[in-house]
Amino acid sequence: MSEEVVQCHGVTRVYADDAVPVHALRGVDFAVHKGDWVSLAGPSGSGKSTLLHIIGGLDRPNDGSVSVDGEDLGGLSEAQLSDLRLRKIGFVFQAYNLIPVLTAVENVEFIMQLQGIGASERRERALGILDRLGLDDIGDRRPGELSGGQQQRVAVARAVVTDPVLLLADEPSANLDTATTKELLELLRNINENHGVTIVTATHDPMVMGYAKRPVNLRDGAIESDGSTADASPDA
Amino acid sequence: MSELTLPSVASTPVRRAVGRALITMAWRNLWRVPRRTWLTAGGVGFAILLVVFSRSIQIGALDTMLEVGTAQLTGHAQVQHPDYLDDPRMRSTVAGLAALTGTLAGHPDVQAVAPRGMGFGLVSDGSGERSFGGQITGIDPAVEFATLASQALPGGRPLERAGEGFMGSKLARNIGVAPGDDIIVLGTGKEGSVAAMAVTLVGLFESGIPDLDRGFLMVHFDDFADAFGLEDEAHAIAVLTGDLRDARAFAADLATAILPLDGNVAVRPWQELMPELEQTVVGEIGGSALFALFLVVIVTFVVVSTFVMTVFERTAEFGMLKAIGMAPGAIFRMVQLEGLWMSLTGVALGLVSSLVFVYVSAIEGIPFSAFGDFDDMMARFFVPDVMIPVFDSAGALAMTAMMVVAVQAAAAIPARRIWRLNPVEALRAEE
Repeated sequence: MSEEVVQCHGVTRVYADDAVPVHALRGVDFAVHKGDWVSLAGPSGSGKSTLLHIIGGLDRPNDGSVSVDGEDLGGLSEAQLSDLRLRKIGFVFQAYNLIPVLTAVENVEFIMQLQGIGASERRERALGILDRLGLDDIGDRRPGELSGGQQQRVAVARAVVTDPVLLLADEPSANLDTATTKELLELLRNINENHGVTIVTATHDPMVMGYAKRPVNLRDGAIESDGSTADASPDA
Repeated sequence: MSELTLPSVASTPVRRAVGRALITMAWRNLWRVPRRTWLTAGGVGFAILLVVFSRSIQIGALDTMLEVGTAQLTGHAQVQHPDYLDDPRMRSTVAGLAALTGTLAGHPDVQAVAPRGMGFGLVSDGSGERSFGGQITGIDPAVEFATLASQALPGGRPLERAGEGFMGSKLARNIGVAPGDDIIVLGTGKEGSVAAMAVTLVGLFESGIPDLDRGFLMVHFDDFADAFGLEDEAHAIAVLTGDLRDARAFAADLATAILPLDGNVAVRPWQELMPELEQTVVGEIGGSALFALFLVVIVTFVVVSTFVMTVFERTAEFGMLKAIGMAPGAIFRMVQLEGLWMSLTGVALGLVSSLVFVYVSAIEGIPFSAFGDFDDMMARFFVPDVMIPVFDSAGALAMTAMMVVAVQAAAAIPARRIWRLNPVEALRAEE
């Protein structure tokens, strides 16, 4: 059995802010293996984004445990969680969320700057990944000068440039058209298959689900079906 | 279960690298909404301009007032008998006048030395029919620097030699004399004897100060000494130095210099001779400091509102930065750096415009008439027609420091929210 990058045991998340508590996750048991591409799918309110956020250390479960790369997130302080996200997890967001005042190459460099990587190595790695992702001609442009697809590809470059253990993508195709989505998914497939980056996506998009190696469906805070039980292979 | 063994983001090289990134990002962030930045930095700059320029005018006016006030009679400091200031008796003199004036004149910071004899007497016309009391002051016209002694009304001239008198215009009118008339002075000498002298009135002055104009007579110091029985002594030795604002230190230095000659003297700076003048200056400076503080408070509110908007608008961005692993402290520092860039931009605007305003207005000076119809009064007080603003470097420094601190505090108030920001909720703010 391959190494488990993510382990979730009995993960429960209840939002008690409103008068009626909302059970976003109900004792989810779940694991992601190294090199996997898991697509968390399900209708709105199914708990897929909540699970993604908990795996990414952005939210904490009310009950249960989560570990990433062998590190129990429940035992980490906010600062340690922040450090873990910086070192081990790459994020791709629905709204791209690039830093608007930095150019594409500076955006990619920024995460390495936070990690303390030297200037010349930063620049070399940032230019290298932009080149590999076909973005070498837009390195000096700011996000406002890029299309949605270009921004999302830069966001992917930013997320993977530090060789994270895990890439988390929350609705990465939500703001993209079909052609651009396909380009993005090919990019993620390339990263997953050729560079061994483990990916977890949360999505409504059937095209994303089709690309994932392992579709996992959630409903009402519980796993309804898990592609790992079947021989799920992308056929896009 | 493995431990996180990667280097901490708090290590020094990382902090330095992040620091450099933050400085760049903060500067660029500042110009994301240029109009807002210009307005806010302009507010900072305008406050500095208002305070520095108004204080430069104020300092120019106060300097003029002090120069005129001290030059008119007292000088920047006086050597006196220790008791004379509180109890100006005829016998409270400083002895060894010749040696003292010689030593004082040789002091490197002394520009002028003028001995004075001062007493009260009855001033009468030649016939002795009309008499009025007045202050009799003996001066040496060859060394005297008091403006009062040099500004004669038309039809007369200032004092030049022994046997002459120079008096206030109202005193002359009261006793019915004019330049060319003889006058008689009667008083009490140092040892209690009768002091009497007859001089010829050569000129009249009009200072605008009623007490001087109706009760002040100047005679030659030698005449005064003969009549009142002074022997190589005076009631005061007035001195001038380069900068009257240093008068206290100057007086202390003089006291040290002349101590070996006569331990029984006091050197009084103008602040002790005319405490009301110093109080006026302190009051004016205090008023302008309050004005500056008021402006700083107003600008601080403006900056707070700017940064409230900034932090609110960038909620999703801050959420993203936290999500990718940027420490809240680093995000807070970035906002603080934006505040610093903002205040430095405003300070630069304010200081440059202040320098330009002060420089341009100092070329020709600002006429006192710009502040009202004071021409006659100014002329009577020997005040120049125009006042030259003096760049208030201390005020500029203080305002710069206050504005920088105020802007940092103003930026910190909304930026505290960054610590409480939940990245998930913050990211949803943009969806």
